[in-house]
Amino acid sequence: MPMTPIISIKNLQARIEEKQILNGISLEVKPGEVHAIMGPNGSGKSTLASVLSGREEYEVTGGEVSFLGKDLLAMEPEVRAREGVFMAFQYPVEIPGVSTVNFMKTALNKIREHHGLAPLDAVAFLKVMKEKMKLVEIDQALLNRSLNEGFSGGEKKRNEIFQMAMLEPKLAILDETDSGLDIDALRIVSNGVNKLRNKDNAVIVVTHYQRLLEYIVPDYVHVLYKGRIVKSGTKELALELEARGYDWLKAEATPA
Amino acid sequence: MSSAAVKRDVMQALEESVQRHSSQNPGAWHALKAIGLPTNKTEEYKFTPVVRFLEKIEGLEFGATRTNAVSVTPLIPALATNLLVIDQGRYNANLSSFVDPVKITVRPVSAMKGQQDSFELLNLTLATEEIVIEIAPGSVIKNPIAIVHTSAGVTNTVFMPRIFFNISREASVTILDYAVGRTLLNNGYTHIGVAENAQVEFIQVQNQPDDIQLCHTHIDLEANSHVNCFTCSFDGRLTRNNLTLSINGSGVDAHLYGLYLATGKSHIDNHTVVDHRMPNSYSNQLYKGIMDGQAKGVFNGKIFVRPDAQKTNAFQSNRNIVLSEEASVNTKPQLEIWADDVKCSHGCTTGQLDEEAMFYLQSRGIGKSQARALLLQAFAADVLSSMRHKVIREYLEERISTRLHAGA
Repeated sequence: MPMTPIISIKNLQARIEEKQILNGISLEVKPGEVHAIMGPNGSGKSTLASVLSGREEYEVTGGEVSFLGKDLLAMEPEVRAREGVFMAFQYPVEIPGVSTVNFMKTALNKIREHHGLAPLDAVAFLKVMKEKMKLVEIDQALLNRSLNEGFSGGEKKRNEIFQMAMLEPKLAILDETDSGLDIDALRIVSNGVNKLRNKDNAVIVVTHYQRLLEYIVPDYVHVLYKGRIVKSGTKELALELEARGYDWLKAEATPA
Repeated sequence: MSSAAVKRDVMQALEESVQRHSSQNPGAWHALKAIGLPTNKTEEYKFTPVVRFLEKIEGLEFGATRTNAVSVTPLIPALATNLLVIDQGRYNANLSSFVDPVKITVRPVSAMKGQQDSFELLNLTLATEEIVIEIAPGSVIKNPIAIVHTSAGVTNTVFMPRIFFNISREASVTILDYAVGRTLLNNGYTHIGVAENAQVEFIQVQNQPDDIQLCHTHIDLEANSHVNCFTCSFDGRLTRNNLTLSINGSGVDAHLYGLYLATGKSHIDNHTVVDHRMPNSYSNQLYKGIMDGQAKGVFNGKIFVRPDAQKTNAFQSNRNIVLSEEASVNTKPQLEIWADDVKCSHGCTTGQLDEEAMFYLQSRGIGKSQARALLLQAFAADVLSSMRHKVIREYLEERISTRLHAGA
């Protein structure tokens, strides 16, 4: 029996204001898989992540996206999250006055409500939280503080993965999660992601560099250029890109 | 009858009221007639056309009538208070009750001295008594003094309460000021004298939708005294708060907090003056507003640092979130500094909700309206966080939360 894909993207096109950025992306991610999206700056990597998570600034001009069999593009961002899409932000925002703990409690209970589950009370929530904190080696003192306010780059990214652990998404999109991380933080964040992987969920790793992929090993690597996937391969492709850069692909992708 | 016919010339109504009540203070009345009521050209009332609001009141009158209130409902039922009922601007002893040693006296209206504001003069002209609350030296008043204003059902008359707190040295008290019952039109004067080493927390809650409240509050602070003021405006047709602090000694610690949540056609105006006359004192002002509907907000904050007030620290911040196209805020800081060794700063911002933050919350499964409420609550939170009276603080936080989550 063929496995239902977690996400199936067909000929996706999108623009921001008057600028066309995605020019027909097709991609299918099955349960248990890790896909890496690589590509030079401006190729549309982050736009793809934004469109999938439902940022309003982007206008989808064509194509379709099916998430666990449902029309993802028709959903509000919060509904996507409740259905199981999680975006780890490249630049997590700081929100003074809202603690991560309260924020996560609200979010988790909204997602539970969506799936017909009773809300967790304070005690049950705390128990879940303590478990997940260990996964990403994050301190409770940090979580009691205002969301991301005054956090270091590494703390912000760890907080993203902590939230991913709490919300247990079907599909996690990591948008340049390695940017601004030192090697220790990178290791902690990657370990967290790896521990959260299982046969029923999937990860899309958006990254410019191969470095992160040493820790979160992809099953497939896709190279984006000018809003299209110009090459797909396995993790060896990432190594090749690391060695050769992107120019040879740009040349291949541009007809003479 | 057309609405134009209902309109009443405010000055004429005032003249008639003064004739009927025979002012205890003709000097104030002469001074008021000389400067007149503010127009849109009067700098201090440029954005707040009080007269236009008063014009719309059918059968407008000034000064107290003779019906008496029969009861008042508490703002916070679970809170024991020293209840001081101001019934149509006058002390109502029958409805008042005290659990702590608080001395109340009623005296004739004092002579005019240095009043400039038309509405303060109006208060002096038509007030019939002054209510004096004495707090003895060193006494700690355990339960808040609740100043409860009621109109006793009279909704066409502007009342003129005059309230004087004498807080003696080393005394400590919490004052909670609010209105109950039907529409209240109030033009009140409150003086709070805070002697050396005394502490006061003064909390105003303005929350009745049809009220017109002009509040003139003067606080005189002597050396090493401490004041925390909270002005929470949740509703009202027109609210104008003139809050003036005179820092007359060193070591004074003064905090002014304001939170206004305005919707519909509410008009909320906060004018503050912090006058540093002596060295080594500290003042901080934090005013925040959330404006929706067609509401109008005004913040005008003056800081004076006199030549003698070296080593002053004086700070001021006004931040606003405007949620609708038709809502607006006018904000204006005014710093006048004559001393050279001081730290002063001011800042004001007016903007919309942070869309990045909204998206972040949504991307975690929190719907738009709840995300909005969470962000607004977070925005408002630090205004009340340093309120010492825990029960009142929690009551207000709960109210704000309920208000912001309405519809979420």
